[in-house]
Amino acid sequence: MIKAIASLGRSSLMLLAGIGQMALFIWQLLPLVPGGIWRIRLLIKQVYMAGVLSLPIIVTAGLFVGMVLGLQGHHILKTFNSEEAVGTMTALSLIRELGPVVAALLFAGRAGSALTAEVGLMRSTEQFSALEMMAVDPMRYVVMPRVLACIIALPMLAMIFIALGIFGGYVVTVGWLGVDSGAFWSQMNQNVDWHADVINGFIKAVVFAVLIALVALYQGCYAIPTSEGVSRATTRTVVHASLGVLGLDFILTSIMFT
Amino acid sequence: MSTPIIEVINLSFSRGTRKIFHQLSFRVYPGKITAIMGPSGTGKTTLLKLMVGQLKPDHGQVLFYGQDIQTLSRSQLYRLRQKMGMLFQSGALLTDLSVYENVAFPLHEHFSNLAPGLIEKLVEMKLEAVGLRGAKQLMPAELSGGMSRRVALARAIILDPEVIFYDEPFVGQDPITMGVLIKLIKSLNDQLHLTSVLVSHDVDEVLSIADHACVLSEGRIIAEGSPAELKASDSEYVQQFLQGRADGPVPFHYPVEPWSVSND
Repeated sequence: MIKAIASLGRSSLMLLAGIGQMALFIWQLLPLVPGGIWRIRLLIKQVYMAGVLSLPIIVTAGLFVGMVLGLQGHHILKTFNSEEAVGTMTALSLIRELGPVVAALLFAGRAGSALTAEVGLMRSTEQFSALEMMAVDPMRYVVMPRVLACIIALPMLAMIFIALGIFGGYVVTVGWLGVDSGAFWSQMNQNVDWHADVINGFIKAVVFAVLIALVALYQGCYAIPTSEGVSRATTRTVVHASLGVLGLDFILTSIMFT
Repeated sequence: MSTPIIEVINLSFSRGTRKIFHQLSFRVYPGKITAIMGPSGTGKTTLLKLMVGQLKPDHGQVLFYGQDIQTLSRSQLYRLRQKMGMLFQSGALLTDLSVYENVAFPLHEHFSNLAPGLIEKLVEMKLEAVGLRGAKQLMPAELSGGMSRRVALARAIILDPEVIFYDEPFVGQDPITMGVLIKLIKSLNDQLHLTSVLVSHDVDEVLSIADHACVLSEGRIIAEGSPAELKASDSEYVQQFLQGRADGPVPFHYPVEPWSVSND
């Protein structure tokens, strides 16, 4: 019994220490934001690494998610004789929820894990110490451009995901299941609101990008500098960022859509 | 003797409950190669990190030109570090940059207004000094361990530092590379009028170029002096370390209960 209480106490202390360390990490990063924006070459390189290299997985997943939504939507709406609404249903599902959330989950798995592994290995191979000895702040040179790159890349990836999802839904419902093309687009046009749906979906993607970048880079910066330590940190990034995205999605949805 | 460039005064440092250094003191004089030697695990690399302000001691001071390095703000410390160079055990090259970009990196960061042509000339001069001007387009993954260290050395001297720290520069090197590194450390120190602090356990190589050497054991310096003075030391520990004897004050066996054989 006492062992269990001690273990609970130890875990709670570790959790509090982790939260404090994360808060300090964010506090260190905040003053570097203005300078980070002007390091264009570093930023472009990181947007390429995090964003462009994530395109294949986003494009493929977006297309298939849209196709499945089209199929399922048509199947359900047919029972109410309102198959024409499938365009609206596909678009709203993608813009409000699936676009930002699934793109963020895929981004956490591909780019987030890569960031943690890269930064963790930079620390374990003394590249951070070398930067400090060259009087270059690793937070400014390594961490900040990567955070900004994630914030630029993920919303764009989410928009691409949504566009391809709608295209996938169109191909399946109009091209295969025979839904009227005019009805598909006109209903979507009438029912999707720019501010309430598109802007809110975009805001979600930005919030998820900040979360994934902070989790991935924090884990990389504080990984134990061994192969096992980096491997564990990479796993933690994917788990924590994915759960964080799902939790935050609930909070944001309850604020935006209720 | 001239004024010391670095003074370590009564330095104490612990990791958890383990004491790494206790009341450690020594001095580094300008223009000299000062070696810090000791077996693996005595905290030589930790001592270097304390000397350059990457770690904070529990007690004591590290004075750099008479200034306590612990009292400096981050920006003051970074300004001071532009006068220091460090060669890391692994080379610590930035793996996403080529050899040329690695050596040019400190110039781009601190003197971004320099003409690209001038940066190119400076980088080529330093690469020439370490014999790798022909390898400037290679990536770090294409270099051998010895070449990586030579590139890292070129990078460490690109800002013309006054002091250069070497962390185990000879570890894992073949005899030819070791010879090249020894020659480079000595010639750079003499020709560029540097001050060198060298941490290593390669006794013969270190003593062949050092002007002054300190032997570390159990968190303090147990002997120091010129290589000749150390070789003449009557300390059993120093002799065991210098001659590489398997047993002595540093026992061969890890502490254990005496071996007993019973018929039970």
